[in-house]
Amino acid sequence: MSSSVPYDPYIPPAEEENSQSKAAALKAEIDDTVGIMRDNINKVAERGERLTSIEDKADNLAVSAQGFKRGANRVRKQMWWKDLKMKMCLVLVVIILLVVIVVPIAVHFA
Amino acid sequence: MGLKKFLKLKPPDEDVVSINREKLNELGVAIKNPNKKKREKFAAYGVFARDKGKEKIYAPPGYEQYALKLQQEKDGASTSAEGEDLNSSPLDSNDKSNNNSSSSTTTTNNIENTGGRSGNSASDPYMKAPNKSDFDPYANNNYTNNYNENRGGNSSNPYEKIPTSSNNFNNNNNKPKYDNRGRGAAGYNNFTDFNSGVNSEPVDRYYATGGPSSSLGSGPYDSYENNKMTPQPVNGDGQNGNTYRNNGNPYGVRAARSTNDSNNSSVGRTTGAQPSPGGNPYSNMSTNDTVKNESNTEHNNTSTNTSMGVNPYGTMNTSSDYGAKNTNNGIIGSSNEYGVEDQNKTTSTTTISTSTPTGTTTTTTTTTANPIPNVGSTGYSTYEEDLNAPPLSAIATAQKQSSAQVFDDLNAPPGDGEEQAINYDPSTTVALEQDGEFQSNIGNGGDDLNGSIHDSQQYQSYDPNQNQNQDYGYDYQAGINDTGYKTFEQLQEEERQKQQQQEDEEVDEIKQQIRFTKQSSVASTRNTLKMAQEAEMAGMNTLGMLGHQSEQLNNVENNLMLMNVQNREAEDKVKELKKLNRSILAVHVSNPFTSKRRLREQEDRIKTQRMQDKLEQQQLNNGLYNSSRRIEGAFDENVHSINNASVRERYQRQEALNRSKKYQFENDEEDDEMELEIDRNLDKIGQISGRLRKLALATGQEVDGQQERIKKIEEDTDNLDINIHLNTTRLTNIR
Repeated sequence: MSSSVPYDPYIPPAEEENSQSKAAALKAEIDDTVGIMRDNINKVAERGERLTSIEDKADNLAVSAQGFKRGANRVRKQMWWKDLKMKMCLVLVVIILLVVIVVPIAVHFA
Repeated sequence: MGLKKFLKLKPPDEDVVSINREKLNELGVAIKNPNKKKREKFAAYGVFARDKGKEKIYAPPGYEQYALKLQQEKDGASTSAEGEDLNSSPLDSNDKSNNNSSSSTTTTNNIENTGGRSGNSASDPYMKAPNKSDFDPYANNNYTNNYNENRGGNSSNPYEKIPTSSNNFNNNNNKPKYDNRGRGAAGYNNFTDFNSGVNSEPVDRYYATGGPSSSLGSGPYDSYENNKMTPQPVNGDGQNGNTYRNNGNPYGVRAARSTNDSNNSSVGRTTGAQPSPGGNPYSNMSTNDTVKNESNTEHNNTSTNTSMGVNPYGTMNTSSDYGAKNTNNGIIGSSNEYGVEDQNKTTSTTTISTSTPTGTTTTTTTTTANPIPNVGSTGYSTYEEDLNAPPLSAIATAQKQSSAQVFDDLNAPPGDGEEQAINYDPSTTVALEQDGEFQSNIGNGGDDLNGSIHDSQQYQSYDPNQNQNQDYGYDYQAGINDTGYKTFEQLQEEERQKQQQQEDEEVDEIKQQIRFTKQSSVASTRNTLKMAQEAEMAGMNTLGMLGHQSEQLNNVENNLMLMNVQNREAEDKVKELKKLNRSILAVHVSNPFTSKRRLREQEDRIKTQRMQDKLEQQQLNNGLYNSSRRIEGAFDENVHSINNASVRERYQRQEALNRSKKYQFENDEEDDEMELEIDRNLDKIGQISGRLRKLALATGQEVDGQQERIKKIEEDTDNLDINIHLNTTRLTNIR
């Protein structure tokens, strides 16, 4: 199979320009991509920093939440005790009242 | 307090999470739904990242186990210590491990001669060469070095060294030195002078000395000029001979060849019996670089040998020894070797042998047969065959062919030297001396005739004195066309023939280079494509992992929002508690007249709060949706265009072939296939680069978006932390 087009060692300038421009476009595109990726790398690095700081803050948050929980628990117990005391006091008062009421009557009728 | 213990009084335990959640839900506080199945599109990438991820651990030597233990405790189990880099490609490791770039591996895979000799330490020196230089094996020192190494094994023959050294045709200095040495040792001062002069001086000398040839056939030089146009890297032309040699290109060798040309032509002209042998060495010289060198050196060697009084045929054989182990088939052996080492070389040698019309025609067949088994396993052997075949037919003029046939016939009986000589000489002007010599040559080395390719060498070696004289005559009778042996027409014919032959061989050589370059291009495009695909895969993986992280970020955001809401609720409760925890005597009675308004205000507040929460939630979801849509878009586009490519390619086949027509010469099926592959690969690379760009853009946007979200998360976390702390302190203040 022989070429119908005679072999031409010279690349026609127009073609060359075309292919050159094509290659140049490709190269430009790749360069562009590389630039974007460079930016991306920078961004990702920054993002990594931010993520690290977030991790830090999340740890802090967990600690303070734990503290809040503990405090709330403590307050809950405290309140329960207070509640208990109040109830005891009320019961006591009622008993005293009852005693105060019942004893004179009993004495009166006795 | 003993009483407490006695009464077993203690506050109830904390609620379990689920009960707590229920209670909160009853209270209308937003809670996390544990049963909610999140649809994670990129969950697989999370696993991928986890598998591929490696935690860096630094440990002093001897303490790695502790670090490893820590890590294992942390990870729970199975992170293998040798996790790979996320985007690592096998190519990278290849590059690191051995200096062969990936192109080399593939080229060797594709082109490497599997039938190679065992002695080849470097598997394929010629194929390796293009890696280190810019795919120009001829301008490459590495290649010559490898070549020398390979040759080193045969070093028992002193003549080997000459071709190897002369293979460093890049170095201007080596060449003349060896020429001088080889000839100087032989005592052929004239010869040396001639050659060295040729080597060291511009070709003007050629023109001067080779008057008849140059006057008639400026063709060879024209062809050189033509060859400059070929894709070979040629330095500026400048002085004819020197520049050729300087280039480190075959042109440099060509200059050397031209010296031989002139030598041979002088012989042929003076003796008159050697027009065709005179023509033959040209072909020998002209075929290929290293081969040319070899033939050069062979010439030299033979001459030296004869000066030592050794049988020229023996010397021929010895000189052929360096080529290979086959002592009888000098050039065959060499062609074998070349065939093993480089296909280009094999082809060149084949062309040589074929173009020499003397007894080597038989060898020709063998040589042509030889490279095929050697190269046969590679796909390109067929090219060589195909490419070589046409030149044979095209090159050989009728005369030559006839003479070759005659020699085929005549070689069988070695005693037919006279006939040979007669037939041998197309011009039929027979110098009796030469004839006799030739006869005796045949008589002496009849068996070795096939091995002796260069008849001109034989002549030269056979009667060195005469050759000297001829050279003298040639030197000093330069410019005189009529030497008394031939007519002008004959000379013209001869020159034309030579010229044509030379041109044909130039064409062959160029074809070799075209093919070699094409193969390199195919290999490099293949590698580029491979790397581009890997880059794309890496990019897609990165994007996928970003998508997974986006989902995780969304998760974090949701949880943060919940925390915010619940913290707000807790704040309310704390306030209430604080209010209630005042002295028991304090009366908390709100203004009964504004109770309605207060209620309304509270409801409004709750409503707005709820709306705010909704809005926030929507924003979060939007962020996730955007990022996942972005990533999916990039993915889908990639897949889409990948599918598209195969369809498009089918239609572009013919177009690509047409386009590549001008890069092709006597193209055959495989050539077309190569062109198509190059075109296809380039096309794919272009597409991939486009996709890569889009991927990069999507990645950039995604990273930007996540940056924003991360920033927001950071702020939220900070605020929440502060709020929680505030609540905690408020709680502690409650007594």
